[in-house]
Amino acid sequence: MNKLVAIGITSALLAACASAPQRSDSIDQARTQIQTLSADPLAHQAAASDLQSAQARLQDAEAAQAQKRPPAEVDHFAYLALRHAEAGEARVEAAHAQAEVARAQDQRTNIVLAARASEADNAKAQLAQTQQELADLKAKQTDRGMVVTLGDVLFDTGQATLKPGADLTLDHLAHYMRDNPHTRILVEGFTDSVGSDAYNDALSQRRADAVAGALVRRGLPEDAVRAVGRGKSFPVATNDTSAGRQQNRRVEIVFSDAGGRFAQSNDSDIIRR
Amino acid sequence: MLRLTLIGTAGACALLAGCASEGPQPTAQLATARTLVAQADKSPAQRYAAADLQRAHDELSAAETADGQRKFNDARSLAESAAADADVAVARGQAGEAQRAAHEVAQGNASLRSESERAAAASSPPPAPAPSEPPASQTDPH
Repeated sequence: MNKLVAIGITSALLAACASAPQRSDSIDQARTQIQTLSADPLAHQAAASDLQSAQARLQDAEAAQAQKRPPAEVDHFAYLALRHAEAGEARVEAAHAQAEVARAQDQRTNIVLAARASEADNAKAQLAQTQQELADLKAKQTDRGMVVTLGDVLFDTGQATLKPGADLTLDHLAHYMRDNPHTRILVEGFTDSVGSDAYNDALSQRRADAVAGALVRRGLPEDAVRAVGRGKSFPVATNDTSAGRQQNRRVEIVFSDAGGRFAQSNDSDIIRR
Repeated sequence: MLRLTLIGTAGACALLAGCASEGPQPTAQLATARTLVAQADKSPAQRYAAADLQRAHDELSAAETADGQRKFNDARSLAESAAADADVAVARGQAGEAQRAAHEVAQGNASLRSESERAAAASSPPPAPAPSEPPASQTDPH
């Protein structure tokens, strides 16, 4: 203001020495910059005061030019106008970038939610598959956990060699164990009451070992499976009939939970890990 | 440069013509310029608008010099320019910082997206085996 007053007082003198032709390049440049800025809708929020200052300095420059002030003075005001407009443009760019950040953060939320939903779907599908596999194995839920019973038709009488008919069931088992890598199994052999305890204990142990070995050959880690012979203890049917005895000659597979824990682990010499 | 030359020329012209009429000492303009330049120094302007910041510094020191020589018109004009340039530096620093943040978030999203796509592909269950009858599993457990 003071400057303008001072300039006003001496305008006649200055006009005498400011003989340069009327140039308006700097004014044009500032005006263009201001027009660009005000064309952006965001400018009126993000850079309102810059826009205002730029327009005020542009008016100063135009007034100086109209009053035939020295070009340096016109250029000075035009320069200030230009720089205010440029500062405003930078503030508009910052506002655009901040809006972009906000949009990207929304997107991030959506990506995370979608990933969680897909994880949940996968977990559901995995569970359904596991249940289907157990159903295929005709697993029964007991108080010892899930149990699959392999009947004695898997073995010849008095023998512990698995017959080819066992392959499909063993494949199912191995597949199930691959899908549930933390599950462990206990393979228990049982016989009927024919023969001595020692004979039956040994036979049931060899049959359990044969099943466990067949599973290990199918890729089961050795520490995921434990075989034990139970002999003629724990019959599931009468030993007085041949049908009952056939039911008692069997191999049972007890599954741990998904974390490797068995439902009944008090039998510590068998399920010792 | 051209502008400074013009100011110089105008000053010289004024002195030579004897039409120099110095306004009052631009104390307020100098104070404003010092404040804005100091703010710009503390902002990310150095990284994103080094040329603007340097220009503001040069103009401020030229303004101080002119003020010391009692060339108050030059000092005022230079101080005003220094203030405007420091403000441009601050604004461009803010813009640069905001754009960097936007770029980072976008990159983070891209890697998060491909990560979760990989995870989805890895954890989708293999096809279930064809249900078939196990040959012997007919007896009940005890």
